[in-house]
Amino acid sequence: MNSHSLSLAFPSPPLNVYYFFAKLEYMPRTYLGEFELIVMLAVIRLHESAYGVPIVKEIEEHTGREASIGSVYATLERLEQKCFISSSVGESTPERGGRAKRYFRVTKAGLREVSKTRQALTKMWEGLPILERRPA
Amino acid sequence: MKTHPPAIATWLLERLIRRSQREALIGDLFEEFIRRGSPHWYWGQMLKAIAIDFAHRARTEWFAVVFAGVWITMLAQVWPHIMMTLGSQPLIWLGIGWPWPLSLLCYVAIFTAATTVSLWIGLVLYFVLTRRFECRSLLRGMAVTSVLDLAINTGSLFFVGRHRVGIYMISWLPLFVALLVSMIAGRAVGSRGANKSTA
Repeated sequence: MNSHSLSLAFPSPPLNVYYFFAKLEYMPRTYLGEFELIVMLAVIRLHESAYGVPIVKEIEEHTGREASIGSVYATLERLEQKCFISSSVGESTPERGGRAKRYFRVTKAGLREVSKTRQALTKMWEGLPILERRPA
Repeated sequence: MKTHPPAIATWLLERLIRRSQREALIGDLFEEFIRRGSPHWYWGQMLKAIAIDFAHRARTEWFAVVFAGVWITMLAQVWPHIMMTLGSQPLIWLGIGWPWPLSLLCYVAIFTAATTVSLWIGLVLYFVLTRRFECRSLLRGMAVTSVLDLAINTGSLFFVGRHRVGIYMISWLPLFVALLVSMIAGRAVGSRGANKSTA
């Protein structure tokens, strides 16, 4: 039996099958954690001026919870790996010790994910009278 | 109000944070420091950023975590034999027989040397196994190991004084962390040489 007939007997899968499994393997998780959602919303609120310092301030102002710059960067990196945000390097200024800013922007996939998360949370909220009672 | 953040903290950030985040993160900390003017805040943010970055690396570099765990477990098993071998050397007893505090310093030096060499062997083995055996990586890893190990052994002196237990009651968890940190710090140099960040 030559190699040609062997390949006919055991056909190798087409390239797109390998591509499918490779994609499946590297496909990021697509749900958002609580802090991820907060960071995404802060980036959306800030539009063009979303970089580390304003993002932290936005979170602290609106949630009343202290956030460290390191934890925000770790979350932003995770979101970028999931393709929910993209980043670009900005200008360096003297008040930053000559270091460049890194601006973040929410992608279309990110916006879709925020919307899906909101819908899911709203549905979970519905029909829970214990949470609708307001404190006297 | 201070206009420059603590230089040592910035120096540590420049060396211990991954390249992909370093520039923007240090710039942000600098900018916020100018507004707040609090070195205490800056040190706190620096420690948190380094801890978070190392936690991220530990998650992605699982082989380093497993290797450090196995090495430290093995070391804990053979440690009594190492101590017995060291204890049979008359030269060591000569140093320990000196008056206090020289005897204590000698004691700490012996233990630090023994644990540091044990961690160095683990470090070399790790770099060989991961095929990242570069002089710069190894030297940096060894330097980090030595500093951390000395800090652990010196820190344990306070524990000795407070709880009246021998310094030989070393805790293996700090040594595990020391080995892991030095492996990751060494790898960071290697990957910088290859012009990519350790993600």
